[in-house]
Amino acid sequence: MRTARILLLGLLCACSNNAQAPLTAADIVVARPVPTRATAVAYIALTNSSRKPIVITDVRSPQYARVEIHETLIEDDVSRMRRLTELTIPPGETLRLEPAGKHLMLLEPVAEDIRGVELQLFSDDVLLMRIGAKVTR
Amino acid sequence: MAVGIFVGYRLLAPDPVPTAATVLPQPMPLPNFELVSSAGQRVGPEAFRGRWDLVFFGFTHCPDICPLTLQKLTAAHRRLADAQHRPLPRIVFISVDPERDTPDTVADYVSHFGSDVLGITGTLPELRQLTDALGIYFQKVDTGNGGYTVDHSAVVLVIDPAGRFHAVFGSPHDVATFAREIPLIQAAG
Repeated sequence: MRTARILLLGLLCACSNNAQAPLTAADIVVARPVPTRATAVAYIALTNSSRKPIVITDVRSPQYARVEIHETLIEDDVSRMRRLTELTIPPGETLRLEPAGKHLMLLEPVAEDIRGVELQLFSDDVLLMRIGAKVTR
Repeated sequence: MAVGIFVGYRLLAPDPVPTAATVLPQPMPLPNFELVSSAGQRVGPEAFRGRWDLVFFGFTHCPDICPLTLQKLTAAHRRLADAQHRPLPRIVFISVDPERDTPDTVADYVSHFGSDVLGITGTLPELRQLTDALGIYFQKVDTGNGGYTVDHSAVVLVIDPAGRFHAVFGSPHDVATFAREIPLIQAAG
């Protein structure tokens, strides 16, 4: 089962650069909430055009030692942030990573004053997609 | 005729009241507490007398809710200033992360949201003295990798010039709502 999933994801990865790619990214924003803070946050709209769910199990970046998937929940006027182990994008749907919701935390930069970032989306160690973005603020 | 109807309507219509914010039927004086401003000065309840304050509790490592709320508050403040509204409230950020948020850390943080933002931090017991009285929740939560986050109330409190907890904005927050309702709260207060 896991092998089949990896094969499928390999196929997804192989064709992710063309217009028919099953996984596409849009509305990419990578920002430092406060300019003097090293930590950055990333928001992306991920669309799955395939007929199978796509599960992102890891996100890496050459510019940051750690990238974590987080979710901010507001319940009864209390803000709670929790770390997620994966992101699932159902077939034919768009998952929006956005403020006050699911987002990526970019932690421990490997250099000072990072202006651009590459995000690598993995599923079970298979690279699905690379996303390049400018870091704002 | 039309002018008469308009004037009559304006005279008879009830004054607009806040619909998003909750105004306390009986404003509550702040308790005694002693915290520290981002300038390193002692801050007690007297620091909240003589002006309107919009108070948000958060922490500087907070990735989105805290900066987002402060951005919305400063945008509303700008909107009120542009409309020549007086008195303009002050924005106050109180850290609920005393381990990491020193006065210097808070000073750097609030400086990114405008010059009229007061940053406050303090020890855990002193923070609890204030937050428990105001019904503000915060709790340190382990994130499992040696780090931690802080769950916290996401409300904005309105403190009146008598130093009393006067009203509260629940989340989610909205610039237009702040800009519309803050003058209504002030007018009724």
